[in-house]
Amino acid sequence: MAHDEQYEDADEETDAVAADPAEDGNRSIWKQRGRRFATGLNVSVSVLLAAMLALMVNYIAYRYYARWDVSASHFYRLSDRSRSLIASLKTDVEVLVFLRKGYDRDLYDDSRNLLKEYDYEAARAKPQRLHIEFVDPDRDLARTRDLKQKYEITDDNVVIVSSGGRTKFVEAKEIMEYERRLTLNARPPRKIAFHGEQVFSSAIQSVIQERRPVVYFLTGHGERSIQDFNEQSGYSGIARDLRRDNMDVRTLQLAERRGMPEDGSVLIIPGPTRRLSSAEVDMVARYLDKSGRLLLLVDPGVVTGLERLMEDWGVRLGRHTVVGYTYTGRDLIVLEYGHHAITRNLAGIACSFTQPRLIESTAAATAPRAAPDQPRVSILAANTAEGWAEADPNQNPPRYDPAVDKRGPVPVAVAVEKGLVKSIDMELKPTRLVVMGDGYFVSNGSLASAVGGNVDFFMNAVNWLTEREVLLSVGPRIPGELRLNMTSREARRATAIIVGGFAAAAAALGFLVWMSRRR
Amino acid sequence: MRNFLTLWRRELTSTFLSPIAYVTLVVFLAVSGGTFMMGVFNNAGRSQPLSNLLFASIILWMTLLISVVSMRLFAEEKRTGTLETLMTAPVTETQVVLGKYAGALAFLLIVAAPAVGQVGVLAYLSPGITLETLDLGALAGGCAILVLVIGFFTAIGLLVSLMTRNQIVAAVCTFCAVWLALLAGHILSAIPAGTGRIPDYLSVVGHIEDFSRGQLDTRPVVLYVTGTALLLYASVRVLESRRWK
Repeated sequence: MAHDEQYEDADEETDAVAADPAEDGNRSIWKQRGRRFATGLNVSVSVLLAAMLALMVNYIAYRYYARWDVSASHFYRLSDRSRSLIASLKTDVEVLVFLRKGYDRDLYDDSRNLLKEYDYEAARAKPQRLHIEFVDPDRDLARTRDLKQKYEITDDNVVIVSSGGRTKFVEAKEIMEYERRLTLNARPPRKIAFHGEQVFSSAIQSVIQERRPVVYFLTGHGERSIQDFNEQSGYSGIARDLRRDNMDVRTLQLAERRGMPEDGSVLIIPGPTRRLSSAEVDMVARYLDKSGRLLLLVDPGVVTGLERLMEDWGVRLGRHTVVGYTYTGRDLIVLEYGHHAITRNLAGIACSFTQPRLIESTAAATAPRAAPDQPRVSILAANTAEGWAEADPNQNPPRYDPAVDKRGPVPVAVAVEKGLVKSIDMELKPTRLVVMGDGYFVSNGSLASAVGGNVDFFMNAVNWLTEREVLLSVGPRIPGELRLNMTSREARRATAIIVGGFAAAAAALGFLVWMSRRR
Repeated sequence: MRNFLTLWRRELTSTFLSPIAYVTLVVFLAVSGGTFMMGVFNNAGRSQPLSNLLFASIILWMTLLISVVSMRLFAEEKRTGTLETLMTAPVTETQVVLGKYAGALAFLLIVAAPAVGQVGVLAYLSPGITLETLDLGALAGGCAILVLVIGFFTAIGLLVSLMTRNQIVAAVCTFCAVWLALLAGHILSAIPAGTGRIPDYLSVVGHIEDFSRGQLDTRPVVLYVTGTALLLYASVRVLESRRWK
């Protein structure tokens, strides 16, 4: 009995021992699963927290960032003028960019890259006043529809700049200039110039200005005409540039209007070939006396009737023709300029004057301490000491004759200011004049063939006369071209070297390593 | 530090002693050079910067190379069982991850260097392009973004390799992940309005274009550095979790 009880107990113990491994196994599996789950959860949570930290760091980097242009061409670098314009904005300006990528890939990329720089400068200004939005007409369909209705857009390739209810449209054709030529095969037109910064900055300036300057071109005395599209003599090109710079350009017949219109900001007399009447000269004189602004371009050998008036303003229209460094024998190349707001940004930029007239100043007008009520003449451009003022324009080639000629440097362009008075209570607007001895200076032929500084010089002068020194002219960027200048044979050889040569060198290296390992 | 350097050297040596490295090097240099020259001839007469064409062709084929190089980082060791042996050595998971990452990155940069040098050879052979007219600033910018992007993609490949023991699976998944990262900006920009500036911020293609034009920006630098750091941290945590499972 006791033995049976002992075996019964042993059986019970055996049953108990036999049941434990299964339980232990189950418990072990669940423990393992639990540990895996906990480990997985631990890893996930820690990675998630690290991801949130990375996200925060990126958000801060997105808000506060810096950009540098280390390229050699600085193609997209904004000029100081544009940067100061953006920094000086007092009202919000919206820029909507509707450019279709498929229309012109280069235009799209260049515009977008340039506007990124505007965006960066805008973000640096506190508070940010310039807001740029890129709208893809192919993707943002709803937004495109809304904006088309709002702005009555008919063209998908346009940049719209708006501020305070004023809107300026910049069309694609204004941004990029292409060479127009007939070809036998359908090759894409060549890019000549990228005007992006000029048109975008001008557009921003135009919408923040309450009033656009009105520029009047005098007519009736054989002046060069803004309606003349002649390739050589016409002034249509510079008129277009003035309009692009947000100015209203009109013609003026003094005899008809009997004076300068009230809304006129600047009077330009572009190379008259006949005398103004004494009544017209009096009108110009009265205009100048009332803080007028005049840009006079005179050719040599022409009697304009304005000679006396100019002397009253400290400027003498000389009879000599100025000669000096030249490309063609007929032009005068100027590389160094006087110290003036007009020429401040022209350092290193060449201007070309075609057989320019000597423009001198009277001694009193260039005195360093001229009183504010006296005209102050500043020399803008002159030839060098190696040049001279030639008395005989028919002499070919010109030779210096000390008896009649004047040794250089002698001026060809001057600026005059009189009457600037600043006090605590008020500021009187001064009279400003710019006189250049070349009527061909910004004609269509000159713009097409001359060096690039002429337009900048002229536009700077007009902007100074209209007191828009904040934004002076910004020259176009000339896109560089990828040119190999290789024959087909040379191209094939270069391809073979670059594709095959490097690969062969790597294969040889691998072979050497393999051989050394075998040994 | 010594463990890290040892692991790095070991990884680099094993890579360069492997015949696969040279096969991939030869193929990469040939196809990237061919793509570059094709881009040059197609864009002759246009204003496309040379550095843009160069770095675009390198990145294009580098995605394939990164997939091939990173697939064997951990997947092979897991398959052969040598990972466990490695983990028994007195090294931390961080040192292992960083050592393998540095080894792979060094190999990829050594492969990319002659590819960058192709533009110098072209400048030497072409009368129209001289060493003086080469935009060295743009080239330097392109090299900088190349290092950042390769570093980021390699970190992706390393993490993917850690997740599987099959090299082919690792290679394919890395390839897909890298191209997803490359095209993230384009994909997001296809979503109608609502994403704001995020597509631009994430656009790898946009970053390469900007830097290889000489326009340097701190935002992509922060993006790639933090992204790489995050992926490496995740790799370390995944490797650590093996110990506890």
